[in-house]
Amino acid sequence: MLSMHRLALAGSSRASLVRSTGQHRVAQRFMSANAGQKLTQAEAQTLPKKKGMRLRTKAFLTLTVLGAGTAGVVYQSMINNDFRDLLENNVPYYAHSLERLEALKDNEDLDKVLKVAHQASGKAVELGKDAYRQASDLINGTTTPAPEKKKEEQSLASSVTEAAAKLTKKIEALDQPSPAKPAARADYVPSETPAPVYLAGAAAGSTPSSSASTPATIEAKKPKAEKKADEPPKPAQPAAKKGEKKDEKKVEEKKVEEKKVEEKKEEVVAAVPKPEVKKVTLVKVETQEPILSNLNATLHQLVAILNETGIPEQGHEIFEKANADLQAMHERLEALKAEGEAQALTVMNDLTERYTKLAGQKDSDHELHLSQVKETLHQEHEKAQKLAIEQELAHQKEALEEQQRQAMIQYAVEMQRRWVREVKVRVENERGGRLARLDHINLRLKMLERQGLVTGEFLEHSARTHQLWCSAKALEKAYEAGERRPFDRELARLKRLAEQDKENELLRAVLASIPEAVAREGVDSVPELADRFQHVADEVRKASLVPDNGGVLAHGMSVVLSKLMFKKQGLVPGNDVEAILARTEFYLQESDLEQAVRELNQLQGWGKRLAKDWIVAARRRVEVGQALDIISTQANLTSLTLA
Amino acid sequence: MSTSNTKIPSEDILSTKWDECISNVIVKSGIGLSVGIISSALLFKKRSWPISVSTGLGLGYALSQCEKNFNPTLVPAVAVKAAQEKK
Repeated sequence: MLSMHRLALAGSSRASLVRSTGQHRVAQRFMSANAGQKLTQAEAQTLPKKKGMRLRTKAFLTLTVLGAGTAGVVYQSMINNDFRDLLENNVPYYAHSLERLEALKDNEDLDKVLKVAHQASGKAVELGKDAYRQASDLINGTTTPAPEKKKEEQSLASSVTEAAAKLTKKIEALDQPSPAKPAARADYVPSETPAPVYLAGAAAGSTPSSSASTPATIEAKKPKAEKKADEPPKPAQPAAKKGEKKDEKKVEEKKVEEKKVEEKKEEVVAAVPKPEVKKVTLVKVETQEPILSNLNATLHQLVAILNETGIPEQGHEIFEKANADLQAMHERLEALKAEGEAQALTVMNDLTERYTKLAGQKDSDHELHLSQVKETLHQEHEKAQKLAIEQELAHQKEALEEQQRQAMIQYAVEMQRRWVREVKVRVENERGGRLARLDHINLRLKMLERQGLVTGEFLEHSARTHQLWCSAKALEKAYEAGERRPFDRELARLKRLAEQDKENELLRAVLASIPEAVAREGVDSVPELADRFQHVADEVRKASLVPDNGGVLAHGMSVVLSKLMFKKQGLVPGNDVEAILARTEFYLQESDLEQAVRELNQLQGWGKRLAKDWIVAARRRVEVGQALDIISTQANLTSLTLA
Repeated sequence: MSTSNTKIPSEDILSTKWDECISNVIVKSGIGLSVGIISSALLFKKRSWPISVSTGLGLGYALSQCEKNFNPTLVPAVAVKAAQEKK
């Protein structure tokens, strides 16, 4: 087969120098060439020797046909990927061989083409050289042809050589991987973009001048004007002086006398003429008497006036006389004075004596009287005081008695209250003790009651749990039986138990999920289902090749062709009917009914329709099994929580 | 067609269909054969073609009935939209 392939390739490459023929076309040519060859060979072999070569011809023909068929298959596998996959899966070593064939084909094809191209190019070069040589010979031999012609020929030859060279170059280029062109060195002028000047702080924030406003603190100082009104003290000291009347009288009398004297003197003075102009000297009279001194002063004044005016000589004498009179009067006055004083002194002594005597008498009298009055008064006062004290005492006594009585009453009331309270407390204590004892007894009674109830409940619960357990076991036995067995009685019993147990809602729900019809009929056992599955699987397999709307013929074909199909075993992947059936059977052998149902449920079309009853039956069994699981778990739980 | 009182299990549907079909073919083709024989003997001077013709007719009729039995919706020139009706 490979040799033929090569032959065909060679033929095709000889037929055309074009290298760029795809696999497809090459293969087509190979086909056509093969067919042609076959025909010609067959004819050639059949025509000359018809009798002798019969068997060989036949063998050859069959071989050819087989080869063509194989080639067709290979070709088809090359075109169609699905077909190729099918073949690779089913024919041993097909994938390997096909891969090798493809690799070979690719390489050989290229090599062949290259070789032929080389040869062709060599030939063309030779041809060009020959032509050139011939042309040059011709030119040399004849020496007539125009230079243009020569030129023409030369150009022709050169063109031929050039073409040949080009061809070889091309081929070479094709042969070798064209070296990567050096990258056109585009003058890379690095655009000198000005370096980005980052304006540092373009928007320079103007520093806000912080005008520190120093608050001028004006300290108003208030001068303190302290004004003190100084009030000058008014010392009023009235002085009262007691003068003795008698002495004064005497003095007055004397004064009257003196006055008389003075009057006389004045008369005398008045009568005296004015002293002379010449100096009139007067003797100054030293007196304590005011009148005298006055008189003296007037005299002096008069003298002074007279001196100024200048009185005659006789004036002087008068004045001297007057002066002497005055002197005498003064002396007389002094004498009178002394006399009067002595007289007064004696009178005075006498008077004082009498006065003191009278005063002493009077004092003693008075004192006596005063003491008498005092005594009487004291006595009276004492008497009054005594009376008042007595009265007060009586009063206080009364008040005290009243207070005492009140206190007594209060105390009595208090006592009574305390007594009552104590009595009450005692009574309460007594009563409390008895009642407490009663309460205790009551509590114990209640406890007993509760215990009794709890025990009863426990017993009841225990009995119910046992019944539940037994019923669950019975149901399980019916379920696990080797053949289909109705379990409606067991189910009814369980339902009754569940009704009694108010708390067990789970059990009720689970029991409600099992239909009555199923309980009446029972469920198929696993061996039964497995047995039935063989039949179902056969039927499904028979109908596995029927299209969606297939008629009698389709069904018939399916029945016939399904006999030819291989049977799969075990856990095979895939979504076809055979794989599903194989997996279902595997799970059934593992007695995993749930998974088997799930697998078989994946069927479609006629297969699903045929397997429906089996699926329903198996699903019922699975459902009942699950319910039974829950029931038995519940029974276990209740029996465990019983203790 | 035969009507059955008992419910056929789903896996036996096709088998029953085949049974019905085969019996139908036998009956119909038998009738055709007999009719052909009688007619050839009585009307067509004992020629053989009426026999084959009538047998073929019977066979064809039986086959068409079978076709309907297997696929009731397969009526020529009529498209049945089963999915819409069912839904």
